[in-house]
Amino acid sequence: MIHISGLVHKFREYPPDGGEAVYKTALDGVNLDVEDGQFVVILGPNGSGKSTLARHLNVLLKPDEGTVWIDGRNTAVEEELWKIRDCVGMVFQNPDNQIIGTTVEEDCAFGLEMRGVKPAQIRARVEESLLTVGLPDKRQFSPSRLSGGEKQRLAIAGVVACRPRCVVLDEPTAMLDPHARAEVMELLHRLNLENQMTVVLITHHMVEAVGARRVIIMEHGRVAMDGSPEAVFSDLERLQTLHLEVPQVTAAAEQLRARGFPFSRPVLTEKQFAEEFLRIYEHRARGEEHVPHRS
Amino acid sequence: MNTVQGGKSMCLIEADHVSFSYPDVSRTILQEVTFSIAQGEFIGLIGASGSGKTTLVKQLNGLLRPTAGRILLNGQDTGRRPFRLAELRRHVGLVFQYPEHQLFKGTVLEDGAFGPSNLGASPEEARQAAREALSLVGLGPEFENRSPLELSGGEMRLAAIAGVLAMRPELLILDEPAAGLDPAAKERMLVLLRNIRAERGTSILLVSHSMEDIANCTDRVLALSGGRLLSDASPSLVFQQVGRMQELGTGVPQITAAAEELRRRGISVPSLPITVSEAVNCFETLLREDCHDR
Repeated sequence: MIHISGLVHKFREYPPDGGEAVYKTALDGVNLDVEDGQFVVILGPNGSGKSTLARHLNVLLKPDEGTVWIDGRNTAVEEELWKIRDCVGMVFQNPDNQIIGTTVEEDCAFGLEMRGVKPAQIRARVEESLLTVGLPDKRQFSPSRLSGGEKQRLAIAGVVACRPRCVVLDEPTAMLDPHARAEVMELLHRLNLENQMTVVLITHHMVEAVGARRVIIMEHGRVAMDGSPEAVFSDLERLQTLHLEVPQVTAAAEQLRARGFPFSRPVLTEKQFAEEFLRIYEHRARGEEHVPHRS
Repeated sequence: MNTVQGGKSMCLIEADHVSFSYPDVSRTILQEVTFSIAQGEFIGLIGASGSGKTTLVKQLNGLLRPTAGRILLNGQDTGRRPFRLAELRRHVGLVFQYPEHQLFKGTVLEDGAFGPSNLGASPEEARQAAREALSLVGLGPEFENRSPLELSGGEMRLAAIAGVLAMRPELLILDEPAAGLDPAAKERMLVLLRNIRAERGTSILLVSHSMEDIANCTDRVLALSGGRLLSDASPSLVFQQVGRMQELGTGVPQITAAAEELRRRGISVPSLPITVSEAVNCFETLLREDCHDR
């Protein structure tokens, strides 16, 4: 689906005093493959190149060096632009910046109209998309009457209506409250499982990687870590230097480990924490001094 | 509940049975909300989306007026003459969500000076107030002559907060000041709020969806639901009621939910911890006690 080799991206920056432009390297040789149907979470501190990478995936940016292939198409080739954008849909952080229709259904139809899809088919696809994201009752509403979470789900519906095979989301939950955040996460997993859509999710929240098959950590414009959540989150020392939002239970489990209680890694959710605690507690209750690590 | 460090317990602002509804809408947005804020308190305001938090905050600095009830500033009814609303706005500074969208002057210093000059300060006084506020938020003299548009997102937000601080409010209200910031910038924001209180004795009202931040920062929590004030107590007390807070739609800190889960599975957790350090001590005790008991 996605094949990236040696990707370099530089931004020109003009100093405020009007001097010579300087180049800042945002991506410094990224190699990455994402298979069809994967759910990939990309984490990393600000300035690590996450968003720049996302923008290469549907050709909002083109490589300075290296190559990005989307479904076998090279993003540097002008003629492939629209085919690539049909294949990869993009959702941004602020839903208000990506909603343009005066009603929910009109907004959802925008991408299809731009692609010249026939009206009857537009109606059917909009209907289906709004059903998928859980907004069928609000189709006549003005988007301004939607809550933040509903707006973000509408933005996703507009992308889904165009039936891309891959959707890239750049911090889609950053502006949402916890309830809305959970709704968006549930929707993304459903799209991945039921529609076999490839999902690339960029986020600051470690806990949103729960349920993903693969986690990629970006640092200084490079892929710093790449693996299953279990593998990547086991290296907590490394993660702490990256200023990620570490869940409270992860931090607590780590401190209890340091005090001699063998919490297995990684602990990300309340449930995992409770299970680890009980496992250690029961071993101790049986009077076993040595508690083995979870196998 | 209203005791304050430093011995002072003067009541700064009071909401007395405040109700509010828009003229053409039957739904009541606030219903008989009563509480008071003393000088130097750090208070959290929580509630699900649509619970009335933003409306309540607007009452406190006079952007909206109660349809019934009163807002009192230092004991004076702000809705009756000769009280002037400008007075309320001078005492109560409001930082909206995404305040960086409201920067509009040519330089960071001018933007910071706008508030004080609006309140009648001379240009020199206004610039001085702006300089002090900028330094308090950590933007040094090198930022003064830069355009707000050249700053990073996090710096823009700090500049916007400085613009409100320059008016030297006694109560600073912030609506989700950490929204959209990365974790490191968010942590700095919370440290900044504690510093503002420590250095100026400013009361702070923090509106947040992050129960972890509320638990880490505040002395007292106001919980709204459907326009009613359902709780007014310390965060430790408020977050003991896990089921109720989940019904309210705010939830509790993650570590509190984990402790509740253990309780449900038969572990006798005496009091639910609300911060990581409390939790580590609590769980360590539980694990060690058990070992000795048998």
